[in-house]
Amino acid sequence: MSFEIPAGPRSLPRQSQLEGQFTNAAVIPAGLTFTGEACFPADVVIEGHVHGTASTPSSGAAHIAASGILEGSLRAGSARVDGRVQGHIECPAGVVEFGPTARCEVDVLYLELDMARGSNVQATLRQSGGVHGQ
Amino acid sequence: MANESEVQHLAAAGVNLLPEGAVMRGTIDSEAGHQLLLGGEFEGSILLGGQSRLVIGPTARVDVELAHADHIIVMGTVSGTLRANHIEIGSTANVEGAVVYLESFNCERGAKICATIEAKLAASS
Repeated sequence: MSFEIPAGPRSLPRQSQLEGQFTNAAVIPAGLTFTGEACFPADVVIEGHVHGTASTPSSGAAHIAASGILEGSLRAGSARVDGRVQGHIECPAGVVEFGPTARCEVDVLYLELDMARGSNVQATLRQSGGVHGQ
Repeated sequence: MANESEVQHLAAAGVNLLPEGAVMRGTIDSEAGHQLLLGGEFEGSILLGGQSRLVIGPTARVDVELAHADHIIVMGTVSGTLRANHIEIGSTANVEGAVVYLESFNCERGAKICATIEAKLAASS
């Protein structure tokens, strides 16, 4: 009997401001669908499909990997999107990065924004005053 | 029987879906044969197909309508219905509800179980 174990720890494409994070993150693996509400104590990597809401504390980061899909809301200290997002991203005290493979229709609240050439993002953007929780 | 080192191995392999301190409410659904480790709080349903393994770690508190997988290992606190081909209950487990197994069931001394145990073996079905 054999089991498929997703590779880990997770890493980001180079030149990300979030480089070095996600080494001990919670992982929603590719092929898995979660529907509901999730609150993580630190970082989270979404490689699968999330319908609903996901959140981390202000010290936490979220990564929507290239295979990842988020339909709903994400609130995190900072976020990197390489996959698909439809909904809301709130990182009022941190950076929101869209990688070149990002495909999004989102409302974004951010402190810093980084959008790579090649990304396909239809967004409503708002810059925050920098306080997580507002 | 799985032990703590196996939990740590699974966590190191990057399948720590729900680390200690995390809270999830909803439904987890997969046909991909995942190995998943839960260490936090979960409320809802877990439906895993294929050669899946669900490890409910010692720190986990899980309240499920139904948890279904090929193999379920419990070392934490669970209430609800567990259904799997193979079910292992560790010495640190606290299980309340219903346990339905299709092939094998194993329970270590020290486990606290207040549940119905039902075997649905192929030969008896």
